[in-house]
Amino acid sequence: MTLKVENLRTYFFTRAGVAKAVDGVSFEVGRGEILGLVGESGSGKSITGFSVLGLVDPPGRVAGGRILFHGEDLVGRSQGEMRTLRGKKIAMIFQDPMMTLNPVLSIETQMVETVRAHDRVSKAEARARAVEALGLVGIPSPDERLAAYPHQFSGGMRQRVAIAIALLHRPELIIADEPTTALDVTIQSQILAVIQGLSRDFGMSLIWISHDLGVVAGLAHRIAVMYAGRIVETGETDTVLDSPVHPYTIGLMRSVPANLERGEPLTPIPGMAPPPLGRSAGCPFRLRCFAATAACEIEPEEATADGHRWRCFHPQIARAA
Amino acid sequence: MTPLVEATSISRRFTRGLDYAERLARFLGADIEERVVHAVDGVSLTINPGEVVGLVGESGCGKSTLGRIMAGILPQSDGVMNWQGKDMSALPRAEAKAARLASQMIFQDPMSSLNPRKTIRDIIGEAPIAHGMVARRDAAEMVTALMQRVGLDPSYLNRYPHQFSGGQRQRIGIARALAVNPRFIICDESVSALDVSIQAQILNLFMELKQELGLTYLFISHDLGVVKHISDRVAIMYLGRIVESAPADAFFAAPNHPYTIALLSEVPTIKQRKRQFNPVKGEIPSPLHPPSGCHFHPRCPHAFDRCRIERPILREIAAGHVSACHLNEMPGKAASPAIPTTAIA
Repeated sequence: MTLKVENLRTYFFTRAGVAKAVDGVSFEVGRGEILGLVGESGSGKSITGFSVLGLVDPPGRVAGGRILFHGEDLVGRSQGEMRTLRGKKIAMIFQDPMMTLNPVLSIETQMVETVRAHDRVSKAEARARAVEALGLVGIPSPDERLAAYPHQFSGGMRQRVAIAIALLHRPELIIADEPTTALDVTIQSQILAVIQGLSRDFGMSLIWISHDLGVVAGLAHRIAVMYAGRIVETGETDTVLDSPVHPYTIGLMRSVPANLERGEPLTPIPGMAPPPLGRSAGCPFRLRCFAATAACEIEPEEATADGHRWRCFHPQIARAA
Repeated sequence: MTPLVEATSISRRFTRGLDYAERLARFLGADIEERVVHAVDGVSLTINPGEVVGLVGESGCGKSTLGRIMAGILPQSDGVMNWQGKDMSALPRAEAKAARLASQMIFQDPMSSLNPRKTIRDIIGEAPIAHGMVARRDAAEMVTALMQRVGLDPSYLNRYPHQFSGGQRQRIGIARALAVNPRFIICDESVSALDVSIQAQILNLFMELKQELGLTYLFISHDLGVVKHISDRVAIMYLGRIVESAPADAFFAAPNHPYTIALLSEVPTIKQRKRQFNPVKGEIPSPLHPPSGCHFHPRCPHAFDRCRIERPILREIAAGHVSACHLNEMPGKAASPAIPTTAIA
């Protein structure tokens, strides 16, 4: 198992109170496996990714649980130890490549720096590896483009550069946080094709964080749906999407017009997600849920059947069948 | 039926003039030209009363510019805009003002389109007071009614935009547009920034308002899924031109233009699992230097010599269904979806 996260809790200790951004999340990612982590804004999906990399800034910190990378716990490691892992064994791709790339340095400088941060190689060799990585992600004439600055690339090309940087050390695990959300459909499709090929060719594991069930359906082997800091449903992609049991997953699927036939009415989930500070006890979804009863005032334990797991007292099993 | 709004051969160019140094350099023989972007290039679009027209395209295709021209807040460089059959530029002042007031826009980002220093009461009430539609002392009552209509709690009357969530802010934007009793609403990516569960709420609100108030929409979006859901007719733009337009049912059942087909097959849906992504190649060209002939030819799998030279015109290929592709003049050659009708259709 490449990565195993157990009961992860990442809290933000603010003056107004403790915001439980991630509250008891467990999942696994095997070698070459793609896990789709789906949720709306504020569900804790990005903080889960940041926690794995040790990138949570104060007042936030990992307050409990274990993050096992090849069986070794990353929680409590020093920043120095994490730095030898980050970029080398585990890499991250962010939504906005303009935030990842330094606008005043050429791509060459940034890529050579990344190579030499972990490997003692000559500049010429580092440069050769940079050219190779740019070629892998489909940047035309990578040798010449290396001298360019981030602003000289289009949005899609910038994201390719960010992916190339993440690939420089052939990491075993890449955490991708909404990397195609800001891109146009045809460009998104190109990036997805690149990622899919790389994951397959190099046996790279991938955690793909997204709000878009459609993207995740096309890419992921398994899906985990997050709501208010918890994974409310997880399983094989086909199982979760063909027979979702959690009312939130069902609501999410019925809210996306692209998933419906034309003219089929949208059934939105009423209300909105609770703020991280104002979460009441019990199931966090109960105030928006069509199936909620008095039982939901207690937090549901995880139930499981054939690798399909959910947290709900009223799983919609009959409905799904 | 007289169309509510009719754009005929509308073009809009944005020119970046030369500064002093560049003019001097050119005087001395340097090869410097003014940079001109053809944001909208000879586009015609008709919108009938009560219709919802979805305008779809990727970034930089000119869909927002066209929307602003149709809303009357940006003048066109060429072409004629008609409002209820009359040329807008020739309307008497009072009528032109009424036409502009009857067209309202709802933007993508409510945080940049709502004044952060005004309360909701002022944001929604300002325009109707300014246009004499309501007396200042009656404004609060009117604003309250509007807030209820769009699903906001009227007790928030004196709050500021930052005190609301994204979905609520979008509702404020909608209430502000409705405050002057418009007939025509231009939604420019109005639901793109919202979470899916909130997006569905707002889409349903748009449809309810259309039923109740008899509104007409131009719905601008990059999201074909949303457009499919809401539109009666769909128009696809690519680099300043409309390449295909059809009634929604016909459009999704039988897309014709190679660009449309590529777009439709690449919209991710939950029906396609662990798929092989097979994207259309190449980048969206810069509108500063669009390709010759058909703008799509460098990315088109079917392109041949004629596409590089001659701009294809929009031809009717079925009732109300027009497409700008040279293949349609060659029997048996017209593009068709590679995968049997795409998942989204």
